Amino acid sequence: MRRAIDKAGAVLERVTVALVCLFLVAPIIALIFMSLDSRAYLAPFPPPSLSLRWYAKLLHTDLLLKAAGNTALIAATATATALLIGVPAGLALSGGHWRGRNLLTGFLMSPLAIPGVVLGFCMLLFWAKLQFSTGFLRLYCAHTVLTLPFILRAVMGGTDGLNRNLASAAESLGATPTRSLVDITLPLIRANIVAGVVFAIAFSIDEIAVSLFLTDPNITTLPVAMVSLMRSSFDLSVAAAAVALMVTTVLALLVLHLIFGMDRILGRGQYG
Amino acid sequence: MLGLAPAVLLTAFLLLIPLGLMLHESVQTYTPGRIGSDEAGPLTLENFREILTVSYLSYFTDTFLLSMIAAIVAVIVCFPLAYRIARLSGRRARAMWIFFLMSLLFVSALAKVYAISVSFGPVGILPYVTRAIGISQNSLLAIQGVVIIGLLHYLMPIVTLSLIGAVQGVNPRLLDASQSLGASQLETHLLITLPLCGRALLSTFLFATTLSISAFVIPLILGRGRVAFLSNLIYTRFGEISNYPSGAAFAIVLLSLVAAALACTTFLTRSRRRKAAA
Repeated sequence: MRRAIDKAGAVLERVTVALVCLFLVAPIIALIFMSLDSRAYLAPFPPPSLSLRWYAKLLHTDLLLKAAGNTALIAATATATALLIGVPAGLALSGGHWRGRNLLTGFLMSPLAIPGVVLGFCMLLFWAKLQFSTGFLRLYCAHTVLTLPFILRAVMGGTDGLNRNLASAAESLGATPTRSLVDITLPLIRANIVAGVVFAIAFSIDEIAVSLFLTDPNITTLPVAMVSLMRSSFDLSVAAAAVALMVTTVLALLVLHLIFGMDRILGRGQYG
Repeated sequence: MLGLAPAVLLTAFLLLIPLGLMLHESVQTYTPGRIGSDEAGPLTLENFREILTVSYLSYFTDTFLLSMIAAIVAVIVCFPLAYRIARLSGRRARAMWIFFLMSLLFVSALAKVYAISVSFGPVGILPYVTRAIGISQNSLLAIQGVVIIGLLHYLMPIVTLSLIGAVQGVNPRLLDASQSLGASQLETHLLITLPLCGRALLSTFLFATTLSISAFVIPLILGRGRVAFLSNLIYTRFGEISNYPSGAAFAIVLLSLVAAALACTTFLTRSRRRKAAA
């Protein structure tokens, strides 16, 4: 009887796992098929025949191409700025326990916890009060604040698992603190920083709720342009753009995984 | 210490000042037809009082009810998967699973929403399902169902990843001990694993609820204008009728609710860690 129950439990577990995986993957496969639909309009799945017409149309849609360029530029400049100010800040935050450290960490991490719409709205009020700004400046500033937590978390996660004796050893052998930082600490947390950068870029190129408030007629980002197309037309070039966005992210993550191993970044826990 | 200065200054300038401005805006008087508030008008709590009226109830119920349903379902169905991955012995298999979940987590949220809308929406399987249970595909219930499906798809990867951490925290020797003392697998699962993961399950549920309360694109696209979350209402206040004071008041309410939920989650995680350390 017990064994029968255990067996049924094991079967139920397997079925649940299989259904979860199917649910996670099937819609994405359906989207890829729909983006290859040869019909001229959005019609029920499955497509009767496949073609690349929507991808061809995508390459001739100026709005989306320009938006994609803006998105790439904003992601690159914002992540670079976040990296520049985030690495020193992360190192300072991971050096020992002092009063207010947790509070400051929470404060710098908070942009990820605040709902995007709230952030976008208050930033809009801020720029409206200042009365001078360009769309690019607004988006660049917002994305810098939003990508900073990814860099901080990466640096702090890296130094957490670091043997502190290594840096002390270097310093007792005569290295200056700067030298021990450059030669010992930074190379050891390189994998974490690269992962942080990839996550930051992936987040930035997909960000929508904040950006929606900060765009203007001159500058828009790819996700914002896609949402307006999604709501206004039944054009499948949005599906093609979505697939392109998805492929970009997965490729970046795959490179990261092949070089460093995503599971190592996550850790195995104390009994692993 | 000096290294912190640029990050703190930037975040203070671009986050604290805007939040302060929003708080100020929320107590301004709104003049119809004007973009933004009237600086000369008297300070008022009218914008907050208006939120309590019945006409906004559906936004609150949609936001909270659908979010909590999605969070509960996500925690329940993801637990077996997390358990399986946490107990895998092969390094390669584990690495592959983690990569799979991380990719799903970071794959464009917009692409995922569009994927749900073509596979579960009116051009997907929705008409077959609604016909089978005898409701219209444009009924509120059907649209709410599709929004829940979208939220689930968004929550499942991160819920699974967070539960893997919880299962990893359970000492496998306890499970061996329980079974060698004669408990069946089911008993071990119900009496040892689940209680030990209890707090983690609760904090993951709260975290997932917080994430989905803040969701914006999912209800915007899948709700088809019939189901809207608080975040969508805030955007409408700004974009369509330019009632900034009311938008600011709603934003402060949403922010407070999310902060409260996050504080509960942090409290649960902290006391769990303290217990593990003891």
